[in-house]
Amino acid sequence: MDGIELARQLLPPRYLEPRRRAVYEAAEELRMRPGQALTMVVRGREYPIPGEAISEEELRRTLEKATGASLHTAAQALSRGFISYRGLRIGVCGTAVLRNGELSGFRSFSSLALRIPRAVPGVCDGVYREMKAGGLANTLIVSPPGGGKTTALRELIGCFSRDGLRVGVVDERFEIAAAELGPAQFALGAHCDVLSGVPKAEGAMMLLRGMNPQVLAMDEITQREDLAAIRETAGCGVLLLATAHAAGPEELRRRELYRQLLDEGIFSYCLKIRCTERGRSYSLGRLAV
Amino acid sequence: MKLLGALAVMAACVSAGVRLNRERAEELALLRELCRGVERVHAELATSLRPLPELCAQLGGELSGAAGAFFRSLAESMPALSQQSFFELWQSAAGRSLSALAPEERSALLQLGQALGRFELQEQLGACERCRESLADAAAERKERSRNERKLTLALSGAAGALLCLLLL
Repeated sequence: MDGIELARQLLPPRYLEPRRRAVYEAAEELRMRPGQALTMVVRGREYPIPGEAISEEELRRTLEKATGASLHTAAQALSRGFISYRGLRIGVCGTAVLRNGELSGFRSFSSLALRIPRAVPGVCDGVYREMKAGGLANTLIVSPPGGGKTTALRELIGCFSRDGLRVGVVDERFEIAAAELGPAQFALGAHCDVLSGVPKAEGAMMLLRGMNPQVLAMDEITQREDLAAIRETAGCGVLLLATAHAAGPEELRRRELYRQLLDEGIFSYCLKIRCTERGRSYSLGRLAV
Repeated sequence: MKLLGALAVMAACVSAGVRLNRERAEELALLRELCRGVERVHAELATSLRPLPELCAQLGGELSGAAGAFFRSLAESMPALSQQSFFELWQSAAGRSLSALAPEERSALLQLGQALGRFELQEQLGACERCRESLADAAAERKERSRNERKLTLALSGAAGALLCLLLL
């Protein structure tokens, strides 16, 4: 799947000229803010793309395309701060409307962030070889937001699956497999079963009960329920792959939720992704209990 | 021969009057169907948050006459959403199927098209309610006018026919 092309489809027509195609190639994110030119994020830094300023109407039009002219169907996703469009995550900011204390939508929109999903084939092959040499074990992938955790997770899933292990994937936000329309849009190998759009805790149990996975993969552990699902899964003899927002294990330990997780020794490996001007580096380390 | 000609003129005038009355009845029926359609949109959005393409296709099958044709045409044009906005598609479908609407009735419907699918749910529901009220008021007004004018139209067309016959004879 071409993430750039997918994101481009959502942009205003003046940004779709073929000569501009090359400009977007390196983009990890495209950002739209009314009154400002379109910007793109490359290796963590934001650069403006020359052109007329974006209008609020154009933001609405982008959301209209992404939701199939049915913004009301995305209310639940919007309450989490983003909507998914065929594997593309669109972060949303604006003036929220609360009804009975719950967010029911946005009255106006002030910015959109289109995060472009990418397949980087082979990026985790070395890490996987290292893991195999040391003995396959539960692995937590960490990096700051936008650091490439989901890409690394996707590549590791592919490695396990291509090695003949059955991998169950809980893809709550349609970002790992982009299977919104049915089959996975990313190559995840022949032994992968994807459960999309289900909360992680619930999805993990569903996969355990119904699909008999040997490896279970999920993105972004953020809630207590996710932690409970991880404990449950780890006790079933299933290998775990998960991601978390943090610069490294030291930072994880400062947060109560993750401290518990690390103290219990559920994860043996930590795959740390560092984002530099020259690109990303991946380092696999053993987690101390 | 003259008598036959006079009868033909008379029949033509009366049938013109009948046709005019039928057109008014059809316009009234169209407004009522549109009201029903807007009520269904309101109900489906409020209860099941149905996506609009799905809802339009369903209404295209449920509603009769030009109102059904409008929603069918809209549903068929949905794949063009990447090139045209929902409002543009709505406007084009209204242009193709709802030429019988008066300007103020068309305007009420177009205002709804500007809100659907792109605003927060309560705003969409409010727009449905406003549109339904405008269309219902227009239908009531048309019904009243039609009741007052139906007999008058027939009488006038009959009288015009008789007058023409007298002149020609």
